[in-house]
Amino acid sequence: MSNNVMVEVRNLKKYFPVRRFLLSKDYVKAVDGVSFQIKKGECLGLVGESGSGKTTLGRVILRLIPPTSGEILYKGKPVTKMKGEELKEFRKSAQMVFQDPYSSLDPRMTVFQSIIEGPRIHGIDVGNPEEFVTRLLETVGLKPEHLYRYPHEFSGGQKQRIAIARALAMNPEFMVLDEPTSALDVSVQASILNMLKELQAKFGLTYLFISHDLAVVKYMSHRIATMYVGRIVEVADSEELFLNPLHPYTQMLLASIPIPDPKIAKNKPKIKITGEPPSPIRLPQGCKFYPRCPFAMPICKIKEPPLIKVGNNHEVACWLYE
Amino acid sequence: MGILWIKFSKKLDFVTDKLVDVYAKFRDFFAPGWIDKNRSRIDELKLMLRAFNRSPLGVFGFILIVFFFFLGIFGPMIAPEPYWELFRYPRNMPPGWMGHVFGTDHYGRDLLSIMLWGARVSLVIGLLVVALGVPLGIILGLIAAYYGGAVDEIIMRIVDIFYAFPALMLAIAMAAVLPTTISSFLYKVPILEAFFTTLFGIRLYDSGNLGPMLAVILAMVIVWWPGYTRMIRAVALSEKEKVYVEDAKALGLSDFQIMFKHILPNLSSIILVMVTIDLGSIIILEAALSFLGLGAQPPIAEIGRLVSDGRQYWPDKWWLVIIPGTFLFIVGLGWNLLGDVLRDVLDPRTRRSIEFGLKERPVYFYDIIGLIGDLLLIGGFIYIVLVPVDVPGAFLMSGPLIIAFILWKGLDSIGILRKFRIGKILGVITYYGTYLLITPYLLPGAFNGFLITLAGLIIKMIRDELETMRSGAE
Amino acid sequence: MSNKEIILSIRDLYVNFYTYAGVVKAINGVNLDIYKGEVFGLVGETGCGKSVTSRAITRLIPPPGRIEKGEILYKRNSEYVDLLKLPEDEIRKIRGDEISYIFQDPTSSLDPLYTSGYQIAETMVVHDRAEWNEAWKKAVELLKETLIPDPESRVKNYPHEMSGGMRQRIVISIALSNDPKLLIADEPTTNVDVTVQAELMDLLRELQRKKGTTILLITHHMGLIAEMTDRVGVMYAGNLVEIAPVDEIFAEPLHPYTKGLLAAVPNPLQKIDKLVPIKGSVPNLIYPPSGCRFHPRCPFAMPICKEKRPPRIEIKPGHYVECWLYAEEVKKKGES
Repeated sequence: MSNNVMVEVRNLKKYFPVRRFLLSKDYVKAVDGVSFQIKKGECLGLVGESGSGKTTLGRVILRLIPPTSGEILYKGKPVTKMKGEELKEFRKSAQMVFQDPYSSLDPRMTVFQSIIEGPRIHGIDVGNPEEFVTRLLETVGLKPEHLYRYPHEFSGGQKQRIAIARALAMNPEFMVLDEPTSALDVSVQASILNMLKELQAKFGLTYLFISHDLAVVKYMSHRIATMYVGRIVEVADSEELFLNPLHPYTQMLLASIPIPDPKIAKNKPKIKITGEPPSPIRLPQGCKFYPRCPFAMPICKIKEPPLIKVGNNHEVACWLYE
Repeated sequence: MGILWIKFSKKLDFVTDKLVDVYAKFRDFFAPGWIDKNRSRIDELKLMLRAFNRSPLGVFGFILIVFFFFLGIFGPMIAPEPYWELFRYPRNMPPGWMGHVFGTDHYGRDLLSIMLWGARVSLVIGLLVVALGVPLGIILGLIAAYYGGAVDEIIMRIVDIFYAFPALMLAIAMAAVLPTTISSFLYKVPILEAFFTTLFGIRLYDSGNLGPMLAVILAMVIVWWPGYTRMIRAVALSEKEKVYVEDAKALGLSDFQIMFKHILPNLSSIILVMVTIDLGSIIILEAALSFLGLGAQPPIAEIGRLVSDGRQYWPDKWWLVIIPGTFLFIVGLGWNLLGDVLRDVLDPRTRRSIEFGLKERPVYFYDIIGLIGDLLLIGGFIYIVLVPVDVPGAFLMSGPLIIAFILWKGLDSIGILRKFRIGKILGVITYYGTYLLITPYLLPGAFNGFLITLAGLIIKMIRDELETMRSGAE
Repeated sequence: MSNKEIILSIRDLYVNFYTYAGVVKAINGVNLDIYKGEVFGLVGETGCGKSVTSRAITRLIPPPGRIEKGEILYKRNSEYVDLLKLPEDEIRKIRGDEISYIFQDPTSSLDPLYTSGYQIAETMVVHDRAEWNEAWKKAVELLKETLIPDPESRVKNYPHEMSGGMRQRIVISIALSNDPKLLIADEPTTNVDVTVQAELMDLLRELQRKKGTTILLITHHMGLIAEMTDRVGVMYAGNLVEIAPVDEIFAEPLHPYTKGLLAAVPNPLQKIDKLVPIKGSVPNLIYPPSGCRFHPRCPFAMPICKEKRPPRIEIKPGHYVECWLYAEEVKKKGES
């Protein structure tokens, strides 16, 4: 079991200090006690609204920002304690694709320079660099003549393909995909998602797929974790999560996705959606969702519910299921 | 007028396209395949030059600057007479006297020749100040922006201290203290001595003057670097937030590599604009310093010195002031015009609006307003240079000035002023208000000079507002 | 359909943008009728011209763009006026009063220097609908209508003191303050979260039902179209390629682009093995493809598609499509 796990996160916390008055400090608890596992070859979807901490979580796992506390194990090794060669190896094997293809490529570098930069820095032998990059471009569906163009000459979808090629150049095993299609049009989104799926099958990649779009997450992921203000409130297999959402927040999320089918859309059962996520600085005590929750009970106000197993591969943090 | 310029700029397009092609062929000759690999860059360059061609003021500024560079580089070679033969002719003769186009100067030399020698000195001093000040500003600004926190605090507080001193005062103090140290050092290193004399285009015999000249340069670097540091930090801060920087981090690049390989190249156009606009002011400030008697001494040819020598004969022998004054004016104007247009051309956002607007109006209303502002701004500075300076008075006025200045900077830096847009205006009024209250008693004639500059500044601010309104509308 | 009253009719609209690189033919002959009291959805991808069309209605196209030709007939006091020929001060009276907008970004469409109440009341005062006192009271009521909790104190808040969803509610209140006849909502929920989006859409629907406002909803989101609209227009590269009632668009899309668009959207209720993307990419409108602008990407392209622009064909009452595929059918039907 344990060699099957690619990434394991244990009680991870990331607080950002906010200066108030002269000495007192407040904290934005972006990620607050998150634990989960990603198995080899799996795609874990991470879904949540803005401010839920999903992006921060992705960055902390890749060690782009240091965690406040908690452990991240990458293939069984603690990421936070890596140094020298080990860290270099990690930087090669774990890659990230960012949301905004318009600013994730250096505007002053040609496609070739951008893609070859990683292997050059890590001294990876790629044979003939031009051929290597051309091959990669073909893998992501671009043409060899794009080799010496600059990012501004490409459309958003093409830029995202370049960014993916840039990550693939390092021959990674694990990729964090941070809203890779949210800046793109639907017809382009479909082709990028399909490509990511094909790449996963071809190279046996492991994905952490972060998105606010439930439909996209469902299409991509084997398992889905729902986040709400820094906590994971529900984890389940993706079919299961859609058929049988347990946490009231997941239910609310599912109810609010617009369904592209007018017959269903106009007759779907209404769940009254109220309120907005709380400010991450002044969080309520107890369950963070109780002010918006239609099923709130007295205990929700006092004690925070733990993540409990309720079925096969289905965990939820809610007192309703205790 | 507009239509005519469009026709002319189409011809210019042809020339610039050809130039770019020649450059590309040249590169391709040394590194075969260069053209294929850089096709996009070549096209981009052509498009940028075409946008530049659409601005008559920019082209005019560029011509002025090319002219200045030509004079600066070849001046000493084409100067008909040497600068070191004093009292060859009668002093202060009018233009046209005995075939001397500009007449003769205070020391009885051919004024045209002196101007040509002096152009080299001006050019070299300007470039040296930039060459020393900009790297310092870049390194410190990048480090401050990238690391933030305590490092940022320390660097920026040092910058503030330097910033709070009035530039001219600091430069005067430095230029008064440094020369002997530098001279004695140069005396021990003959190679450097030979290098600098060639650079400035002066005789080895006059190497004693290198001390004061280099002192002025150092003084100006010290006055100038904090501005660069601030500017670079500000732009680097926003560049640092771009995702590609984080992406580079995720690839495993070191901080140093990220700073100099990714952030710096993306700032290059901003730095270029900044340097261009500054070069004009540096050359005028240098003239002002030599006008005050600092820097090179006769017989070294020095434009500012020509103005101060000629001032005692004003207005009877007006040409002694007007001719070198006009030269300074043209140089300052040229850099300013060029810088303004480069800023529009290099900033993708405004460049788009230039490209969009091309069809109908190549000269915008705000272009003309900007030109008037430039003329007044530089005219005012030169007017100040023209009136006698009372140095003890300058010391007296610096106290309240520093207080007003720090106050303004302080409010400005915490963003109170900028937020409401009146910040700039308030700052200028405080700054110039203090000048206007104090200086008339101490600096005869300064009143009018400052009023002129103030008018120029306000007009330039209106221009900026108009421009942001225009580009914001799109 | 004919018994319905047309409130706005766009006829043969052409908009070009004059850029240095060339002339962008952004809107290429758009014809569109909007009926009173309906929610009309305009859907399409980035750069298809849906926003430009909506801005052309009250001539809000920025300088490099120019409305080349066309008519925009708007029913004002029971007679039709051409908005493109109206003098500037007349059209200013219409903007924000009879025709109002909700733009995409709630943060930048509010002025940070004024309170929300001031900004709502200002719209009424500018259009002589009310005096300040009265307008302020009405602002509170409007906030109540847009379901903002504690409206009395919210009117005194500045935009930065509110969340994104709250700000967009203020924007909606401003747009509704003068009881507009036509409300143009241009991607009103692109920058907010799904739960907030659902709330805002409920709210708009509710207000629309209550006041009978006509809404032109512009979005790229097929889901929103399905939930919100009565009729839909699909835009591609400056052309309005298909117009139909919403049920028909989803049940039997006719234009190949509409079909492609629907196949590319993941439906969260179904198990999808593979999404079908549309091949190729959006054309550069400086050099638009000849004939039908979709032909380079169209799986059913025929020789004629390259040569001639397809005519608008009414397949069923109220269902129009611009495509040669159906022109053949029409011809055959005519022959037999």
